[in-house]
Amino acid sequence: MIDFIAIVLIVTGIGFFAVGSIGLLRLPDLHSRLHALTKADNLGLGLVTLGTALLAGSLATAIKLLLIWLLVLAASAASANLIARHALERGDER
Amino acid sequence: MNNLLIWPVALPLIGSLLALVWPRRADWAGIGASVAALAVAGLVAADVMRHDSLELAIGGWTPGLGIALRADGLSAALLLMSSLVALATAIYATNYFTDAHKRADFWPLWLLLITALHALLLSGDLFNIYVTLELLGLAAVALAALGRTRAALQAAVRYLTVGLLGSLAFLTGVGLVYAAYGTLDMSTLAGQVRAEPAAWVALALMTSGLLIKSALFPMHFWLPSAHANAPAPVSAALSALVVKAAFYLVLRLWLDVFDVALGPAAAGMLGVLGAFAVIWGSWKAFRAERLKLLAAYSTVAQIGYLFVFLPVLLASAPGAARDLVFGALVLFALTHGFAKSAFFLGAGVVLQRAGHDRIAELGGTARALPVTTFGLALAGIALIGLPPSGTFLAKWQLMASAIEVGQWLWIPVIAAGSLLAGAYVFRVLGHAFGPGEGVGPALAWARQELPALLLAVVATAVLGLGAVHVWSFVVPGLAIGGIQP
Amino acid sequence: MNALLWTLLDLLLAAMLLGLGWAAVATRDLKRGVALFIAFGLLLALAWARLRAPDLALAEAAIGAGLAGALLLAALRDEPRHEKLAAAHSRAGLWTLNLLSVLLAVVVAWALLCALEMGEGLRLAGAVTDHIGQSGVSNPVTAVLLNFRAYDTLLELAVILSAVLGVLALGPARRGYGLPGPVLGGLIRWLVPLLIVTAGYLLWVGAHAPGGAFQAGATLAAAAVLLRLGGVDRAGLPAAAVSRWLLAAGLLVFLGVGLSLAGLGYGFLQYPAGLAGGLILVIESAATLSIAVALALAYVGGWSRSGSTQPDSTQGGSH
Repeated sequence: MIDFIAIVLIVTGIGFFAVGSIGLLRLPDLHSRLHALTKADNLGLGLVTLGTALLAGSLATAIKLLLIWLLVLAASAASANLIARHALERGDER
Repeated sequence: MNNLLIWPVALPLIGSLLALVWPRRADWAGIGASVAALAVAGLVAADVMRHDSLELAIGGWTPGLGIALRADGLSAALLLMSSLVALATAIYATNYFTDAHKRADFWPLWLLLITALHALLLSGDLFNIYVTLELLGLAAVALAALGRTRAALQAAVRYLTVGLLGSLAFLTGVGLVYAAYGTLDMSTLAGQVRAEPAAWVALALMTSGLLIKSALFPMHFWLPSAHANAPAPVSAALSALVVKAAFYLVLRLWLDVFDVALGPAAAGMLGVLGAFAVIWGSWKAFRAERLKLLAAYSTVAQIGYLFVFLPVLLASAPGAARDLVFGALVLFALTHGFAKSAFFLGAGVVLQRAGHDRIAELGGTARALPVTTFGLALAGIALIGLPPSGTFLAKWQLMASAIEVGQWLWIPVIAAGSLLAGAYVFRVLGHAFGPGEGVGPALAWARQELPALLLAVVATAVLGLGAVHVWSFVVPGLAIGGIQP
Repeated sequence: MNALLWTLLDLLLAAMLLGLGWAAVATRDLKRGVALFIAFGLLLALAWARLRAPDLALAEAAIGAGLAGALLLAALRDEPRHEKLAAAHSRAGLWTLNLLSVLLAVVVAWALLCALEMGEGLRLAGAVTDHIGQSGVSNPVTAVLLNFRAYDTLLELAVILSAVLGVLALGPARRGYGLPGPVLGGLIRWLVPLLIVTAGYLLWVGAHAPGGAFQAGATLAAAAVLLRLGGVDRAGLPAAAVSRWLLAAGLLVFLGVGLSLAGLGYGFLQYPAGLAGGLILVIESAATLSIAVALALAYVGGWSRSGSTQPDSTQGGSH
């Protein structure tokens, strides 16, 4: 049962990744691309992390995975902010 | 446990660290470490004379699992030469750098270069040799860039790129060796290698990496600019020692480790490249307009001679005949090391005093700088191969052995190279002794002029007259009577 | 089924590595090339992980992709304009070069195949396993790096030192960065302590699990890079005189331990039974500091202009 839930979570997470990547390639301007990328990826990674944490088998590993997710969350939020700010300042919004 | 072999590596390294943390006393660290390294090199040579060869298994682990340092006649002779040249050059350098910053930058890197050279000469492990090559290459590039001129930086970047390419080729070969034979220890390896594809490709890769580093024609393109644009003491070490370290490794690999995997054709190919290097390098030196560029091209030519020795050496019958050629080869390498460093140091004195090193405008130098000019002339004698220099005996032996093994082809090459060398040396001397305003007032500049002169004297007189001892040191069993030229 | 999946994944990884490597070299836009190179480094770390070499994976991710990428980006910033590279070679010359490279790769691969078909022969992994009990640590990589082949590592530290001395000899530091916005600043304040703790953990864990001085030093250096990006010009480095000592510390301790043992009648770097683990930790701690300072100084690009950089003024702090 746990395996099944984990697989569903991971597959859903991968789906978010796929949507984010398609958005990165297809959306018209920088801000919407960033939007697609960060939101989808964070959620995607979160679901994948949750799934793998269920499979991890030990609490310590699960917490480590959670920590990784938090770090990636912080880093991607900050980098999205930087990219957006840089684009705003340069007026380059392609 | 005899730890003697670690000291030639450890002492310059300690000196380098001291020079790094006490930049104002870097001169003392540099000279002190050089003197100490020379003393230890002397001890190593004395021990080698007693025992023929030394080994230190570092950490007490059997070589293979651990790393072994080894010294025999060849490595001890080169070790002694390099620490002597390093000391003379270090004394010269104390008076060369006037800028306190450059001086503080110079010493740690310089001593790391000497560390790398000594580590390379003593190493008995292929991967460890790769590490020493990296250290040698990086320190050499950083030193070559010390001039900070645009030309020096461009030459240094090219030197770096080419050097990394050479290292990478060498490392790929080392990887193949490990995949095939499961050991990196050179003496273990010598018993394992057979004539088979893995050994051939590995040797070819390692050799091509080393050929790039030793600037054998046509891979010499990076050398003239890098050596000619570096500060004088650096040029001296690069030309006299660093290039030769790569050749030393070729010699080690071909003679000691992979000798069973080789056919005569391979050595012949290197010999042909060497012959081209002799002619091309000498010709470019003859046409050079600047003194340091001339010296750099002369290095290309002299390295060529070393590779011409290889086919003759491998064709000679093992035993006395081969030992004779081998001794001559080492004598040639040693003599060139002393002569070329003397030449570059002398050129550095001229360059600093005159503000230029254009050969055509050297008139009056002999009057203003008699000691330096004399040193340049002595070094020139060794570069040409006139008696009583060591080169004369070495070339004589090379030609005699070439005739003996029926490789007549090399004789005209050696003759033409020597004639061209005569032409470029006498062109310099002709201008130096010619009339002109000279290069400033005649001042005694002992700390700069004497090291160059001493090195030149060693090249011309000491090695020439004491050649017999070089032979008997490098090949212990040799009957001395057979080598009177 | 499972094995097939892994093989597919590995093949995909190898293909992506080749593709990224080619793209990084082939592009004329330097910035794009650097970005591709960083991606290449991350995938290479994955490849190392797949080859069950987690130590190498860590080092590749931290140094190969992370710090090398940061250095390349910093170098790009010094370029007056991001010029596109002009074609250095003619098309024909380029294709000849490509052909030769492929030929070389084929020959090397063939030789490697021949080598591997020669059978087991000597292998050192067995010898390492046999002797690891006497090495003082239980992580075989650390045992090789700090005990069996400690001399290589000693010289590697000298290689790093010579590289950074070369950088320092070329001139003063690059100009620093402006103050960051609140988001980046906050992130940096949060990440730097975390990185320092991680570095300490990596150093300690190296004795029995993947980690060690190189990974720990690189992690510390990453903290320095972040600080500099956050507007701290000196990247948290101490004054020049202290930095010189820190640069030398790794080699000084390493050599000091080795030569003291030689003086006490052991061989050079022959750790006495029972003391090996402790001595290795001492050496690795000093090496971590040296590596971190070296990498950070290389990133900063020289002694900072404002700090006490001159040989004359370093005297005060060097007694």
